[in-house]
Amino acid sequence: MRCLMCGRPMYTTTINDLFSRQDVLCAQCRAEWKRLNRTLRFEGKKLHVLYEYNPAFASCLLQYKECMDEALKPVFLYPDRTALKLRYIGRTILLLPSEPRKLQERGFSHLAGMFEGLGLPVLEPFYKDEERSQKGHSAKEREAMIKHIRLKTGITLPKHVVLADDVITTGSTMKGALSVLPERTDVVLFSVAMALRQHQGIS
Amino acid sequence: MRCPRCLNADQEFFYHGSKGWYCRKCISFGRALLEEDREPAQLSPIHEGSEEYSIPYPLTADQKRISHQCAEAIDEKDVLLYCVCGAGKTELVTESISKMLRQGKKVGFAIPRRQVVLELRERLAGYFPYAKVIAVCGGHTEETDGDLIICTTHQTYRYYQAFDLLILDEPDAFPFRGNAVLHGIAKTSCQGRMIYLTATPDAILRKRVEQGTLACLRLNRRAHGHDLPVPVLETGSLPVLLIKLVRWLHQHDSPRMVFVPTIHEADLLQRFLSLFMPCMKVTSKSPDRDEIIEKFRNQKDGIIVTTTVMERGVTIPGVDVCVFHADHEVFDVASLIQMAGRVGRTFDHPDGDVLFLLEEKSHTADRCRDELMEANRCAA
Repeated sequence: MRCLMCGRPMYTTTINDLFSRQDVLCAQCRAEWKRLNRTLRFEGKKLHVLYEYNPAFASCLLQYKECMDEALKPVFLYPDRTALKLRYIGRTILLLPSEPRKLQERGFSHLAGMFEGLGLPVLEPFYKDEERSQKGHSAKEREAMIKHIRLKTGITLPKHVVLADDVITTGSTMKGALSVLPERTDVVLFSVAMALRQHQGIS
Repeated sequence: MRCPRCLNADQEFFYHGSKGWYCRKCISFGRALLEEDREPAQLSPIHEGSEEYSIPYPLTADQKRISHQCAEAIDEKDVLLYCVCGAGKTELVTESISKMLRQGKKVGFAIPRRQVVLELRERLAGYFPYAKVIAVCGGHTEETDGDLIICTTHQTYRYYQAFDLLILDEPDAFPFRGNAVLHGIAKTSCQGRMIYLTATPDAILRKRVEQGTLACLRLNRRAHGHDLPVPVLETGSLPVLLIKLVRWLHQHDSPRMVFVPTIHEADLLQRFLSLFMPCMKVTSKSPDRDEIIEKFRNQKDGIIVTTTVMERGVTIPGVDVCVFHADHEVFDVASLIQMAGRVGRTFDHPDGDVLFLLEEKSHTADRCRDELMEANRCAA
């Protein structure tokens, strides 16, 4: 068994490790990620974040999304898989949309990959009506995203859902998705990482 | 399975994703699918007249002989130019470069260190006035096509099967040394011959020379004809070494470089030395590295504490070198030879002092001294 990031072999050190694998990253690689594991409030909803978006996390996400390293899909949620399953039991995970062009190039949906090992039902009910990436956009332009998220037609949404994304920066995509959901839905929010600098309205 | 880009054959590093098998060893260069046919990089043909070159100073008889032999030998097999530090390795390959350009073939010049790429581009652009010489490295990637391409070893991933001649400068330097991915992508960027330039060939190159698949050309004399400076080894406990170091620094009034094995040690030693004399520090963590080196160069009698970042590719006239803790495990024979090789590189200052301070006797330091003495003996 090798660490998925650095490729160094990982050894079993405790009896606990022997019977159930605790992580897919080695301890050094995992230690570089800064763990938050906090529940915050955003737009009146509960928002749970696991990590801070720091350089180590960013480079891992880059390798996963841009270098298209599909093997990395378990690294984000593997240590929390049981906790998340218990936390969100009875809910359906709704993934926020990614660009169709990127999706085509990658051949896999990066969010679906992250959440596939949880054993919770996953849906991708949103799409963007305009081809645009958030990278390199200012906070103001990102705000405009709200208007560009639409709900696919012909999908019946369950009542209890989790809106899930990989990184929350300004929260505009989340806001966009929230605004198109039917009013009576019971929503909680989840993001793997949070960029700590420019969040607005998150407490 | 074998990765077409980095030549990795370790099955543990292959992963089957939704688009098929790919190699995870070289994933930082983007996903390379095994089933996908890799097209050789498309580069424009060589401009006419680009092979003309002129070196602004005359080569010595030895240099002329080696450079001619090198140009002959690349017709048959790969070449190792095993030349002491400061022998003018770049000048030795200009004839071979010119020969390839005349035949309309692409030449690449790959170097592990980014700083050296930019410096070398200036030099080679001067030697080849009619050729389009470009530098490709981090921060300089807008233009990637020219007659003669100087790039970092990382950037060779852009040139799959594109070079007819690849010159690999200092293949024993960080980060290229021991990095299987970089070795692989450099190898796949070249479809013809390779020339290795080094003062300290590693075991693999030496073995290839023994097997006869690599022609080895040796040059043991620097252009100015003086002997290589041989290090003086002194052993003692830490306080004794510190006293010896301060005394040595007081005895010299030239620019003095003190190499230490770690960044932490550089911090400590710089603070200690600052008690007695003004002293600068450069490590890989220094943000204004270039400015400090420039300042040191201009000072004529400065002292600089540094790590292995300055071990290669730096020429400072009249410098004397001390390696503190030369028995530390980060220093291997190659890096000790390179550090000693900073001394006496220019015609004005062909000699200088090298001092190794050791806490305990070390085979590495002994071997470094023996190899330098051997080179001097061969040259005489």
